[in-house]
Amino acid sequence: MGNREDVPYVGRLIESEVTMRILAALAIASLLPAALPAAEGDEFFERKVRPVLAGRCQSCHGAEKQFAALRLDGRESILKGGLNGPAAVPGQPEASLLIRAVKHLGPKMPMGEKLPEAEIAVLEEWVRSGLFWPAGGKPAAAGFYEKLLKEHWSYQPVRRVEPPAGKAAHPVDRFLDLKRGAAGLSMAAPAERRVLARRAAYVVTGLPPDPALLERFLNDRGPRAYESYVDSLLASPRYGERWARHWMDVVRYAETYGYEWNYEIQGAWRYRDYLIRAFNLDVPYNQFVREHVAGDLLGKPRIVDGRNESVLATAFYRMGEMGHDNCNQFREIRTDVVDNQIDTLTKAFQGATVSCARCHDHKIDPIPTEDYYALYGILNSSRPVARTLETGATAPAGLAEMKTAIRQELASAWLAGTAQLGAELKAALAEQKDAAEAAGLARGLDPLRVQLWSKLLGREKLDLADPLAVFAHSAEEYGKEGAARERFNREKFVTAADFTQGVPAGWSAEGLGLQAGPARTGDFAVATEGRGAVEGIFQAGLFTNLVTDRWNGSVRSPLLASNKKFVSLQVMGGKFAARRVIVDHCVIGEDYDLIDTPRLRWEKVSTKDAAKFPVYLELNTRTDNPRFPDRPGRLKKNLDGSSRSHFGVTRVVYHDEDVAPKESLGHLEALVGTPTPEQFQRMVERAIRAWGAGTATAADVTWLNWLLENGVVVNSRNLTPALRGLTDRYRAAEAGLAEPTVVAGMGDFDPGADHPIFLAGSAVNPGPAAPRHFLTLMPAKLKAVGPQGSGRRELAEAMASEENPLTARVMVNRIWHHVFGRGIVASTDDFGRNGAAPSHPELLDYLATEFVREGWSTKAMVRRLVTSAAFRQGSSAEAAARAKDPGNALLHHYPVRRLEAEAVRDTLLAVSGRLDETLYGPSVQPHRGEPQEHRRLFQGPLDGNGRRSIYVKITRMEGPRFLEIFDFPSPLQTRGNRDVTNVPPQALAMLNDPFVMDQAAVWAKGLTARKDDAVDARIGRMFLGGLGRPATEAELRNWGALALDFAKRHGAKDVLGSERVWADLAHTLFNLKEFLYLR
Amino acid sequence: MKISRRELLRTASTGFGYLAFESMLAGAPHFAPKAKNVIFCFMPGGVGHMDSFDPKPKLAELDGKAAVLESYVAGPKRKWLKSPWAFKQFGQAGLPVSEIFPHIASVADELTVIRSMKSEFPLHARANIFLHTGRNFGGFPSLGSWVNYGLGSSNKNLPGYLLLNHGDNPPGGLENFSNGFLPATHQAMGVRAAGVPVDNIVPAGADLQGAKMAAVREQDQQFLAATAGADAVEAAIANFEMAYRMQSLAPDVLNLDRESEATKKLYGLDAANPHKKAYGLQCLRARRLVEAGVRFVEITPPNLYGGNNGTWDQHDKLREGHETNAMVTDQAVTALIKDLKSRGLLKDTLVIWAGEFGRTPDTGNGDGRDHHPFGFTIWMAGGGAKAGLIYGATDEIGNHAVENVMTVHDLHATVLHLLGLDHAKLTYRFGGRDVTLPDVHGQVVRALIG
Repeated sequence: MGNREDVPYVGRLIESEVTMRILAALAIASLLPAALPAAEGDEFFERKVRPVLAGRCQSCHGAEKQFAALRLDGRESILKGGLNGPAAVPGQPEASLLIRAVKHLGPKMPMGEKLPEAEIAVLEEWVRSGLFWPAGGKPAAAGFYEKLLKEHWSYQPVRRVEPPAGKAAHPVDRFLDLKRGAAGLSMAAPAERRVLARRAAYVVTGLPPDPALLERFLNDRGPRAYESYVDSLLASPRYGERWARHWMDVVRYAETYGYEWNYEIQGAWRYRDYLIRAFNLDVPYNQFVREHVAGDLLGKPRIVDGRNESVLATAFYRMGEMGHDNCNQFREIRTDVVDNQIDTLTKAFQGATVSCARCHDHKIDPIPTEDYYALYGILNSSRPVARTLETGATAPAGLAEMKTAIRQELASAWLAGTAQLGAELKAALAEQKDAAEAAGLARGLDPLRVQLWSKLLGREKLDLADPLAVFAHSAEEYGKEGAARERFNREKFVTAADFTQGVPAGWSAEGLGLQAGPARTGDFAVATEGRGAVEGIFQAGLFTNLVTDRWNGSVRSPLLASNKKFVSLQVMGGKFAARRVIVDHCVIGEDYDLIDTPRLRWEKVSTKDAAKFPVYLELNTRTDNPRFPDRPGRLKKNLDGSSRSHFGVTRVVYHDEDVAPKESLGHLEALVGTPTPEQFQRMVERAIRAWGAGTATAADVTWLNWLLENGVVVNSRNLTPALRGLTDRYRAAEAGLAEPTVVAGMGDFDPGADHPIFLAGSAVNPGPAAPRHFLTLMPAKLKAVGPQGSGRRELAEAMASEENPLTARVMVNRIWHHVFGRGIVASTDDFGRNGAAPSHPELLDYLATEFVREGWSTKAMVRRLVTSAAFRQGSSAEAAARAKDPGNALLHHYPVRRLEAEAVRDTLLAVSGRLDETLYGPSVQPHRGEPQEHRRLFQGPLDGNGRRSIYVKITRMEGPRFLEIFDFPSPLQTRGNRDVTNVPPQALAMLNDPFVMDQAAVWAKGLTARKDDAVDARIGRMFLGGLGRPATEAELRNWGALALDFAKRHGAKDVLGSERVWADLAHTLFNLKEFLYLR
Repeated sequence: MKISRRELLRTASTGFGYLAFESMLAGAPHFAPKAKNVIFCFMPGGVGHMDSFDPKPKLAELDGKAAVLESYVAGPKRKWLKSPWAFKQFGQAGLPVSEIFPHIASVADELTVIRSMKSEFPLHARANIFLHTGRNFGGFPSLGSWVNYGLGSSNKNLPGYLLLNHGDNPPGGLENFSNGFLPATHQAMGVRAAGVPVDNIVPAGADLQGAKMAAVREQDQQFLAATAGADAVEAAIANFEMAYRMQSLAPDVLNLDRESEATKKLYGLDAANPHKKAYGLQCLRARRLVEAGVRFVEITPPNLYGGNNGTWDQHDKLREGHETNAMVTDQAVTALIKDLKSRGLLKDTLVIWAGEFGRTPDTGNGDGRDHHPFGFTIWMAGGGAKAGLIYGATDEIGNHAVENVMTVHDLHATVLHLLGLDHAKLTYRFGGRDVTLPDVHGQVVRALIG
């Protein structure tokens, strides 16, 4: 048990903690009528009392039965009592019938066995302490929340505070000096310039100072030397990388959903790039908030390089963990996702712990359960969908003309091939009756063509819609069947959507492939690979591949009605396009099928879940499918890396019977009766000609598809040299088209709906609906949410408002936390009553006010803080100051801190010379002990290709190992305030990790490449590069001796030329605390 | 102002040397403990309770008949499936044990068998995380972390929570063994069976390390002085020394050279099957680690079928799968109990054998069973648990736990109780509330305590 002598101290500490809690509890208790404080009383009741009452008493004295006219399921009914009078007297167990009964002092209850002593004691304690009952779902008497709203500091408006009088030039220092001075303490002496330069570089950019910049600063003796150094740091793109990473902790950034199969969060890394750009551009924080909360709904989104930057921010909602199973079976998959979204949204921007109110009213803060479900309703009224960021797709000039030329060339090639069609068909028809006559007729014709027609005519059970059926059926039959089909279709189906004219209300189409609107009848797709000339000739409707099958598309239905059993879609498509049923917004659920059909066909979906859940249909190209690539084994070859995929949809119908609409016979009208092969040929030629001229009707398209499907005309781009040339040119142009940018985001597609309160947090126990609104603790004017839409737009404005008491305070506190190592409010994510009280409340309000005044500029705030004297002081604490303020809340020195995980790794790369300063782009897989490809945990390079840590992929289930050793947080919840631990794996990593050894070797290679060095000079350079300062005389001596020692051990004669010697010196330097710690 | 231990760790004032400071890590039990350490033999995937410790003769009668079962896997084509294995009774309590566990049967009198376990989730990842953390999603501390947070480590040179695995973690991944929001000192450190057991434990360039250490020590003292003895720097220096020592100590604890041939044989280290040998190695290491004062050791079995579901997950090939998994683990788990007992360690060490759920009494394909959280069997041994006890029961087909139903939260409360910890008082403030392992649930099951 370690050192025994310390145990008493531990005891004292724990004791004092308990005392403090009791005192705190008593403070709350004074506000309440019942004797027990709300939180404690409620917990005691729920954990101990309710189970006894429910399990032992209420089956006879409850809602169903009331023996002796007694109910024991409410405080009022207990006080009122039954036939034998009141069941309990608060505070007096001995006078309470209930207690006497369970103790068998008089009436013996419950029937049968006596209650265990422990349960009797619970009831006794409960009556003695005042018969606490969580009245009406409220944990406390009315007025408790109101009182908190009036009293708790963070719910009050931000005050306009003038800096106090004082000697300090910097207003921030005047606040700090005042408090420090009052405690009889003073600041530490100013930090040395080199120390300050290193500190500022890490705080602002997360990297050691650039040597040239450092040199310039050291040589600049002007009065504003430091300020201009800070400005250079702020102007560096490294600033955005550093502060984006801070924010990523707040929004639990990850790139996979975790759980069992680690599906990819679509385009997650683009959100990381968004953050880097936003911090570097210094996007006003209120705009940043708006974009996060409702970037998809802004009237004027920010457009960067033709992409909607604002929508991209909504990806933050999607970063949480998520299971892949179906939500109709496992409801908690959805409820946990929303819980995590509410938690992140409210902690990140408001420092509020709203998710505590999931099961009951918040015990500590004025956050009723209604607030939780009000937000639940808002989030559940939006859909988590794939967003396409391009604001407009422009097919390169000439593509449309090329397409027209291909169509014309193809049509004329096909016409050339159908010139003898009538004769061929005639011969084939004759063959069915008279072989000799047939032989005569076939003379001079292509025997293969005649054979083809014979084969087609010989098919069993031709549907009447097949053109060749006209030779076997009478006009009367056609008339009857046509009418029957029409009636069948009319009676059995209700149209849900008809895409021939566009996108009907309630439906939506998104993606580059759908931006041009619906295809006109006869529009077509040029085949982008293989021998074919076309990928399809289309009826009017939505088709994603009119330009290229690398362009994406999603078609989404409104929420499905449940009054019909089925919904059927007329679709076609291929290359991993999918038809998905999204139940309760579980977007990576199991329920989806590939659309894999070259011609339109009806596909049916059951609406059975729509009565119970929000359910909608989604058609996706593979890029848009959040389940793609699917897990190994579920889809074959889905890791081919291609983005080609396409689908089309023309109509959607609801129906009750398990049947599909029948194909109309209209395209055969001109033929039925007494058809001749010549007439047939004219029909074919008419269809081809019309298509070639761009005037095809729906009937013509039906004909063309029949011709293609049956090989009457050939889908080959090699039909003529001209066609080959045209399609070559088209494919070359198509290859140059940019891929769409698709990101997991949010969208509003449905009318907003209030959500029921789940009683006790249980989804199977829905209560009354909670009207959508913002938090009760907000000023009245920020609470309202309109009835239209989800309400996220209003939420965004309320959060971005100057009148919001929390938004600016929470953010300036986050900035302060990163600059000084600890927030003015130490609990960065909790500004509620459980959180820490601000050490300098006036300063916090002053900063919040200035933040807003300076246009919500994060950069200006960082600049303001790092130019304060408090930031520029030294890091040595006076003993007296330490004794008085051990936590350094008064900032009597600048705290010594270990570098964060990313800074450790990035510094190793920077010092060794391996750092790749490329901004943005897809992430690099982390280096792993063992890759597990079935969980999408792929192996990455040992040094991450030299990229900064922010570009290392964050995969759930197993994060970047090297970073995790240094407290890199698990991406599950908001973590504005990381742990800072000091554990052996950190020291072991610096001593032995292959990455550290590798960087030592890289540095050594660079050092030994300089042939003209002396040992001293090189050691000096190492100190400058690694520690930001020159080596002292003594250090030069010691490290020189160490170099010789290493050389001897390695048997190296040429000390300067031995990479091993310098790698060992580099490794030694990496292990210095001075290297790992910032002072 | 309330000061948590964690806060104290961050900001410990002057006057504490690192060691005194570190001893603050040592918690104290709430009351006299029965057990000091835990070895958790996790059996991921779901062992069929009716195939292991909860025989259901009724299933032999019903075998092959259409199954009517209210379950998430209910379907028209399902049939009852009898256990392919015979049961015999063992020990004074007459504990029925399936023939696939001949070794465990021999220590029947040491076991506390709970045949009325109930979980809430029929999915591996959720159920695994639930069994470990009392929650069905990640981000919360695991039982082993809570135990270390509550009791502290009694060996300052070794982490208090070790995970003996085979380089592969069950569904739910590292979240099963996470410290959650507890300080990172309470996270599990992985020790692999094959190859280098602990990351970075093998000195890189061992012959030069002494010289490097000497230079670092001198330089660090200067830095410490330059920061006027900053606690963070002082603690980092001490940590560096501990890590340096761990490089030799950890391999020493894991080194089996000083174990007798008889002991190695007891654990099956002479087995021809590499999986059985690897699992035996981890069980023997577990004993050595507990001996060295490590609070909580978890052992996972080798993943024999390479899936992402847990090695016992026999939706098909039940016979082959269960027999092979039993063959791999049976002898070593038994050896652990025998060895602990013969060294007088069993009374202080609670051994837990449990999976995340059981398996269905019916089958969809005639060849396997599916996930079954409504009633299943686990057992404990030593550590103050009542030996030779059969507790609770499922109904006659093994569908629902019907007698003395024990939830995962109850299990957690009971394990903490055996360690002298009150589950309701072992709290950590996070996200605005005092969080406990079983949340607002959980009852200590006193009948299980010896």
